[in-house]
Amino acid sequence: MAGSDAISIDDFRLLVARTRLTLSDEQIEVLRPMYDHYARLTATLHGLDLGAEDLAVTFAPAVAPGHAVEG
Amino acid sequence: MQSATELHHLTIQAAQGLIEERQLSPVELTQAFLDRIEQRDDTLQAYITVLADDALSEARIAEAEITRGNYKGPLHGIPIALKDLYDTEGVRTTASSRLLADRVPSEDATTTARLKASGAILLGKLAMHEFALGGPDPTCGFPLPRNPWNIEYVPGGSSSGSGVAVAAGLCMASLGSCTGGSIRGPASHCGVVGLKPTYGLVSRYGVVPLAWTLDHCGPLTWSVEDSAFMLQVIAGHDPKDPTTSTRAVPDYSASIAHGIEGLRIGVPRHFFFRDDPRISKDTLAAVETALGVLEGLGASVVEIEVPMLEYSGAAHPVLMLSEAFSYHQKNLRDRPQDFGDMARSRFLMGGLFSSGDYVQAQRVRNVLNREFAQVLETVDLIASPTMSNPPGRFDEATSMGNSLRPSFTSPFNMTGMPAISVPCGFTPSGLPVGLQLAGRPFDEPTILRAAYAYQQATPWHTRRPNI
Repeated sequence: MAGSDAISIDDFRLLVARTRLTLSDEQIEVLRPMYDHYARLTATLHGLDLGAEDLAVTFAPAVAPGHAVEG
Repeated sequence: MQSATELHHLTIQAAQGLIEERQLSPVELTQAFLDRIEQRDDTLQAYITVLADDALSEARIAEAEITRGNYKGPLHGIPIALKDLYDTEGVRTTASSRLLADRVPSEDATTTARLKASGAILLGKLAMHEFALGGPDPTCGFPLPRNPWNIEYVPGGSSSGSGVAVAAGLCMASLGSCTGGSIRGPASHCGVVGLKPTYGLVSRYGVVPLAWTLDHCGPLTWSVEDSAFMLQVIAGHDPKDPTTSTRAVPDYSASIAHGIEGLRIGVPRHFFFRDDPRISKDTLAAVETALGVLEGLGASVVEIEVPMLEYSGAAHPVLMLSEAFSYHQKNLRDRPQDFGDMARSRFLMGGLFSSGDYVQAQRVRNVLNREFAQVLETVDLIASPTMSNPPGRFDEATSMGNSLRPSFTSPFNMTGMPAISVPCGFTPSGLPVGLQLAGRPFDEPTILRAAYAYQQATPWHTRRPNI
């Protein structure tokens, strides 16, 4: 999701179809302004230059299911 | 013995001494709360399930144990209630959703089991926003709790019943859950104390999830010392929840009255006190006064900078709704009609974020975490308003209502830091305002100490709604 302009209804239908959800026209009309609201917010996130050192996804092999986290 | 009209106003701190000294019977106390629920809950709508017979039976057992000299501690014989997403063996647990309307767990949540083992008496299960998201949705099919300070106003959410029940004297303490402010928000709006402990301090086993990396469990109580009593019982490692910490649990009451002389309190004014028409001036004025009280008690209040706070409001919903969609997507496809309108639309929104959105939000979270860690090398606590606004009117509530105002609570869900809300005044129209204090991970003792010092210096926690 990116961009600050309102999404067209056709593009929005395509986006919803990608989720494999079946929504009524009424539900799509309700959801579209909500999508536009969050699209504006996520655009600000993608506008940030966080630098290569800000890793988001980490993997700690010592921590397995049922294995307690220290601290 | 005190009259029934007074019993529902007792704090745990006050009641536990009477119970231990056998001046107050757990049966009498429990009956007083059941009577209160009978008289007031038609209006307040805090409970989904009231366990009158079970509660009285447990109270008789508690009384017999105490009479035999087997007093278990501060929660023994204390009537409490749980948000209806904590599993209770043999008792329906719905998360205020038709999807779980007939679900009866075969096992207690770890927190439920720990509270039962402490001797607490379970009065019942409390209403909430559906699946801990959305809002007071008349289409969800479950009760919509009302703010006891003015029933035309919302009590906050998602632990709405948990806040209402404590504030209105329908239980002595409750558990809520918090993904973006769902303990501190109802606490602030209902004029009670709400504590979101450090991520990993309290087990979430047997608690219906909303977003795994943001969900926390914690208590709502009338007083700070009662919050410490509740935390003492529910905190600690749980082999059934691999996200829980193995570190030793301290005595949360031990240093609570040690005062705050010399404590350093940071205030990121650029975020919490900014000139923004979406932030209530009444709220800011009450919290500004509270900061003065903390200074008067010997703390130093300094301005700090946490630049990434400006982006927390964009990152938090991406994380929360993406994870919630992952949990609910099968039901969204197979049983969409069983969701209420508010929760369904928010969950559907979670499916529309991209993987790039989610990862970028996690990266922002990392930076926010690092900035707070640096700031907490120079200050002991962060202070702010709990909510950017007082409670809104019920008839104006929408699923997006909270999303359109700055969230002052969700940054601490993203970082996992502990945070508490304590009552710090009222708006001119008589609605409660909360002061939020956040601290270093696992430093609940300092948060409780500061909140207690503030509470002892102010009258707000003694005010009860006239309901």
